[in-house]
Amino acid sequence: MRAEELYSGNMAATVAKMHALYGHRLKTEDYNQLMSCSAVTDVAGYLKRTRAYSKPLEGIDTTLIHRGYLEDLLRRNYFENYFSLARFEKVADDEIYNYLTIKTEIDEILICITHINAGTDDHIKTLPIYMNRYTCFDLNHLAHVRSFEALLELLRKTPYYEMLARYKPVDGGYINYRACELTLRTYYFRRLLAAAADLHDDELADHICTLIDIINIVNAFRMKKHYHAPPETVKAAMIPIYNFLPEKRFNALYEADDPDEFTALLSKTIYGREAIKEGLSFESPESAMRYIRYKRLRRSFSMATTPPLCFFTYNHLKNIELDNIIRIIEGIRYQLPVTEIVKLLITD
Amino acid sequence: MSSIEKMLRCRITGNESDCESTLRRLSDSGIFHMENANEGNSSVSKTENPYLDPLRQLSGLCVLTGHKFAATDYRENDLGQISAEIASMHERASELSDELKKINDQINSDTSFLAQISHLTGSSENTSVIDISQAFHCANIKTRFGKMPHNSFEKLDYYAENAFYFHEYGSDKDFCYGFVFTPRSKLAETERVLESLYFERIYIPEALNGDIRVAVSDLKTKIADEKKAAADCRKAMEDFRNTNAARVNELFTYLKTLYDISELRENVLFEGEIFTIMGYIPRSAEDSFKRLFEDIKVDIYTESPPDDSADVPVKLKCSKFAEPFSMFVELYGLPSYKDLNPTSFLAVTYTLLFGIMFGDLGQGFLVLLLGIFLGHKKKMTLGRIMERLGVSSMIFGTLYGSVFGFEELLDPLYESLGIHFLPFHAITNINNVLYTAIGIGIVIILISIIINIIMGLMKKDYERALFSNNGIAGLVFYGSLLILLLGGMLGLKVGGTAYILLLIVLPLLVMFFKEPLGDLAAGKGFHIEGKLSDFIAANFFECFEYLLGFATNTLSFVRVGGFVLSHAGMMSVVLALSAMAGTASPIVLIIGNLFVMALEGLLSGIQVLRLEYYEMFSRYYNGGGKPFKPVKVNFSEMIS
Repeated sequence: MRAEELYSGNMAATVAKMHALYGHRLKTEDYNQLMSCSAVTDVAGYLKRTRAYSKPLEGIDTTLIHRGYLEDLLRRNYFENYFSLARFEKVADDEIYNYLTIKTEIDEILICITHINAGTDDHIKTLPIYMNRYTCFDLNHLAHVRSFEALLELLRKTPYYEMLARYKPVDGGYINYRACELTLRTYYFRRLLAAAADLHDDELADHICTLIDIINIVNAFRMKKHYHAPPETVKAAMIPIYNFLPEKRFNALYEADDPDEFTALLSKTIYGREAIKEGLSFESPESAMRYIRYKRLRRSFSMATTPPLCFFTYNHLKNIELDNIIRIIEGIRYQLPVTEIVKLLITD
Repeated sequence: MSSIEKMLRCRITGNESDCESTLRRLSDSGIFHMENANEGNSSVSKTENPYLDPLRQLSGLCVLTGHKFAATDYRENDLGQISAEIASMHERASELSDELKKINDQINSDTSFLAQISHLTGSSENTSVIDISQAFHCANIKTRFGKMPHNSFEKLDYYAENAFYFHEYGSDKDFCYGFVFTPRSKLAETERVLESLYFERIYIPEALNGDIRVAVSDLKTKIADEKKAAADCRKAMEDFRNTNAARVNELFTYLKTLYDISELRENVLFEGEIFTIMGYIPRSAEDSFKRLFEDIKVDIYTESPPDDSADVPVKLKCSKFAEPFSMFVELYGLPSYKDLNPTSFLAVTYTLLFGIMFGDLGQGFLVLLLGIFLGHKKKMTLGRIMERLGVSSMIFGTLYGSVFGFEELLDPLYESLGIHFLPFHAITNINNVLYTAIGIGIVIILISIIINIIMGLMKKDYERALFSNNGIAGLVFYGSLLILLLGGMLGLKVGGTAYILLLIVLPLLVMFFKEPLGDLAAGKGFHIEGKLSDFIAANFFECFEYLLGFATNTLSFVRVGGFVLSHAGMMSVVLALSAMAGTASPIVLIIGNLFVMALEGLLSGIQVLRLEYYEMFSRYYNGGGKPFKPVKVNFSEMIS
């Protein structure tokens, strides 16, 4: 599909549907109610009474629900809504509508590598088996993988084989997880950017670029703060795609001596200025960056008239909502005070 | 302009022993607006209403039995006796209600259990039936019955090597139900795996033995018996309610009357043995009001309220035609006691503008019928408004020649009558429609300004009447400007320097200095408050806003013409669709007419109300009056 084709009547219906669905999102009042719950079952009960989550929780006895199962149900609901929208009005022909499948494949491959390195065999517990019909390899088989060779064998007919084959460890040593992750994530974002370019959708490309920038900023900050990593180590771990922040600016961030200097340098960037304008605290640059991205997504979604942009922003906003709910569930499970939970949420 | 009912301030004094009967008569009169005679007297403390508890219990009884209260006649009762009677009835109703709740809880519990164990009977006729006693009493095998999400069921293949076996027995939308068999020695390990698969165990009671199908059948019979018991209990409650309905109504009427009257005592001033009640009555009802108290020893003193009193309650007095439109006035805010009642002006302009915007003989007739139904059957004020709007719509529909969107249907009639200038087809006279709409707007704005001038003069508010944008200055400015524009459009020689200076610039300057001039007229001298620069800046922008306001308010009436055209346009679409629909043409025509009627009727109604509030009321009306609320027993209010 090309940009000029995006404004047809059917497409308008798709956009309208997404806007209507977004009207059912959780509002600040809902989050307050959820955070005031004393048990996970109360959270499930409250969600069951909301318009957005009544259907996935319809047949579930929320008074007995297991935390893990609730999270599983919510994730599955997110995936199902995603695919239902992608199928709506046959918009799924474009590459951009497959981004969640590619992301899931990459995520599961990386989890599998973690299990191989750790020598554990319980990947099956978290595997989204319901995604099996969309992925380009069998997720059930992925659960049985115990070595890098077996993983490569499973991925032989997929684009991931070529990318990962070069990281085959010598003499049964550890797999270079960081290199694998960087390669796969870079591949993912390049594919997304190519899809946006095909659609001539600059705003969509901007969102992908923002996402890359923010991932790099957050990861660099963590490496600086928790591991005091040297500039070259940080740079080697970053996705090498530069967008709104030029490479020079990123290099300056990587060279910061401590988190304070990092934050000071960040405040002078386009994202830092936006954060200051929004009145955000740099106490947690991660939260500030995530919030900026959220605001940008909200702004674009509310103005979006083309299905790809609307689809991309809508699903990312829903993903943020899902993350918020899961953070609340975890917070309640670990008995965090509401004042702490609220810091973890990204809301209006 | 309608008027406002003249009020009399009324003071009633008497002996405390006559207080209750006085209050009862005031409540029954329906014309006494009570004021608080204790106002400013902080020493008065609220006493507990003695009728509260029995009334609360009676309300509780109504909730339990589902009784719908209706006011009825009553006789005097002893409070102690009726409290005991109500307590006894409440106790019986509570017993029945508790019993019903207990049975319903049991039904819910059994139904839920049945839903779970019904999966034990197998998903089809061919499924083998497990003997529960055998399944759960194996020597070396442990058995668990339960459910797991479908997603987990799909992962079972992964655990093929583990020492357990899941036997699926049925499923629903979310879960697979079945038995898990595992060696006793591997139970702990199996349970760990099952937990990770979100397996939920369903406990089978000891009593459930043998063939599960028999057990399920027994449970179904038990539920059926419980449902019968619940029905019997509901019948007993219904009988109880019907038997006591008349008595409950009588008790409620009696208690609520005494309760409300007792509440009124809060506003009564007691000085020794003497009580004083203050309030207002309509002047027209003075004689009939005094006659109500002829047989008790109370003094009733009435007087006209002082001119400057802002506390006098307002009761609108309207003609029969305008009366339902008072709803819109009340919605905006009642006029104050000394103001004019705008209801008649609103009624006339609303009806006229709506008729112009929604002119269709057929649709107007349907609005009239709907209005008659809502107004007379459902007692809705809006229905009575719709009756008037329907007639107006029919009149203008006849002038437009429009009947359910058919614009030529009345042509032969006019031809036969020899009236050649009618019908007036809006769609072919677009400019005329829009000019007429603006003309109507100008007339309405001018009338609104004149009303404001009259009201300002009545209140001796000279700033408002003479110098404001809605006073004589505004009228001269707006009128002169319109004459100038009209003259220009018609090619007439209007204007000249003197005209502009005297009739346009001078009124504008008067509006600019309206506050100091108002002070001067009120005898306070000509002076400017605050800094001169601030005064000039503030009034410059205010005058600019006046100019803008005159232009936008006038153009705002274009919408009237817009709706005339949109009606014709929308109906032509309906007719076009109908022509395309073939045999379904009448259905399309009916649905189209109903759609246009509902949409346009609603929009026209809202738009006219907007014009009334923003273009008219804002010029001459302030609201802020206090509604006249006669005291009476409120039977619709339950005490919980």
